Amino acid sequence: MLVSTVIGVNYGCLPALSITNVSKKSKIMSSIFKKTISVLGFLSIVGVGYCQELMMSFGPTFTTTEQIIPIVNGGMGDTNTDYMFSISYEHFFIKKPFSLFASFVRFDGYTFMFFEEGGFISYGNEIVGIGFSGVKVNRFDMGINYRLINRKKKFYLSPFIAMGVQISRKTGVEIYSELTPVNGPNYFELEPISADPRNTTQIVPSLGFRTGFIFWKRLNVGLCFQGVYAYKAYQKMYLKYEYKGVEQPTAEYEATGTGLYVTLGVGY
Amino acid sequence: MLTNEESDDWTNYFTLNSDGSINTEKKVFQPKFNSAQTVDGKLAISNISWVESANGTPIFQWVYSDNSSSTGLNPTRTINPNETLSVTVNDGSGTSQTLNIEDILACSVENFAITNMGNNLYKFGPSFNASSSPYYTKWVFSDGTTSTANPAFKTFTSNGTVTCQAWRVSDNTLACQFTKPVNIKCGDKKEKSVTHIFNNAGGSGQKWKLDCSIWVQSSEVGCKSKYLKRVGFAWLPANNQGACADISGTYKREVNNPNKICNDITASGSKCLGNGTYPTSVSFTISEVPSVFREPNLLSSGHRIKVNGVWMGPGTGTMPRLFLD
Repeated sequence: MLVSTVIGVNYGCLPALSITNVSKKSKIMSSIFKKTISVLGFLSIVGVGYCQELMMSFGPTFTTTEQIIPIVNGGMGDTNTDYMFSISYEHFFIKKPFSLFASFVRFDGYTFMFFEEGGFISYGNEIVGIGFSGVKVNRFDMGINYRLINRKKKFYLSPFIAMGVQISRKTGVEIYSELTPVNGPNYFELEPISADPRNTTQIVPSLGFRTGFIFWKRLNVGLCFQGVYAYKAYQKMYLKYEYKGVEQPTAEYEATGTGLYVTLGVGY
Repeated sequence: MLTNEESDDWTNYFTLNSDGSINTEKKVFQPKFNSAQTVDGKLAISNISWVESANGTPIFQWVYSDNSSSTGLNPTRTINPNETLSVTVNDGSGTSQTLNIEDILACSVENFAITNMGNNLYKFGPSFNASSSPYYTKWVFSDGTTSTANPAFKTFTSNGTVTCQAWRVSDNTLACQFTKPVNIKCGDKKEKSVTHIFNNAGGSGQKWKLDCSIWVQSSEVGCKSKYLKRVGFAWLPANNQGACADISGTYKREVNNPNKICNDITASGSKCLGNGTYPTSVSFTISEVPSVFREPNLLSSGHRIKVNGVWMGPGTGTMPRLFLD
């Protein structure tokens, strides 16, 4: 049996399957194709047809550094810790307002601790923050989009909900805290700043929305805003110190991956 | 408690002649024991000797203080502190060797401990107590040097061997000896990093973030300066007057011809970007063969950015360079 099929490579929203010729050659091949046809037949019943999109994106990560025990007068500090690349796949169903997607992001996991302005002078430079990245964080999300605007319009706006697996892995990099000892005028370290990167695996829920424009019915230029909640610390930082001559509780900062991830991408 | 050693650690053997010299016959008896003190204060002997015989199975006969005896690889009971013990090893063809308790303890692996102190400095010992022991140790190194120090220290610059000998003080004869390979290690891989956030950089009122990294990794030696300017709520690439990353010092390259040796390699170089707006980082790397290692505190990097006419970062002004310790 010679079977020629076109399966799911139609990046626009074309029919999912066409069979052009069939001839008998082998029962095994016949069985395989019958099963394939059954699956695609099921899909066509459920979704009438479908199309897909691949998107490459880049953008900043605004991960929060949790202040478990904050530095005295250290301030809230910073969230935009790094930039990341993202790749995503989206699966549309014709005439349905929703779509399924899967995405993968990878970024350096940073933790920062912050000081009062003017409280930490190092070799003539005023330092307001010390940071470190000792982990690589990978996150794989799967979720569902819902289109709020008619899909025939160029502009789209789609809120989504997703669940992901976030995995952090230690890189083996060590913090070089001895380079800049915390040595006044307000803060004096009792021990150098230390970091504790960790291998973690956790399920992370997220909410967000996508927006952008579709050109020529295929080229997508869009933004994605994704808020992620994570609960396991992938890296902690500590500082045992005095502030203006008074010993303080050891400062403890941690990062979990909770934050806002913004990407600008191109899809087809 | 003494622990057994891996059998392949001790590749050579010896056989004892009555005068303590090495017997080159095919029959081999390499006495080697583990000893441990039990909870009730007695001594447990474990026999890990190597016996090679062309004629039948060797027999170990143990004779205790009360003249009772047992046969088998190990004694059948523990020994009181002042008790005597001897073992006679018979190769099955008339050749035999007897060791008393002192010889057994002298040939315990505990007396030949070898410890890598780092950077290919080895410690040999602890050895016998020079004031009370009927034995002393002598270490014979493959480069021809020897030492009777207690403990002895030696730095190996290439792979070699050490022959560990126990000598009887009474007649200055050799009780036993083992030869052990010493495999040097050229170092390890390492990467260090830290991020500084400068406030009012160069008096400009701007906030800059400088990420400094130095590494000796699988096949690369390098350093990187990553820099961003605070604009509103985000760190973004922005115009500055210069950015540099430089490296200097030495690292190790391992060469295996014919024996492993560790060569010192000089690292030197930098990469700088002039005035302008560039992507977020500048790095300088040296691509190498996989067998490169760091030498503690001998490789350093400088990282700097120029804002408002002022250079800042490790390696500028009084701020120290980033050393890979």
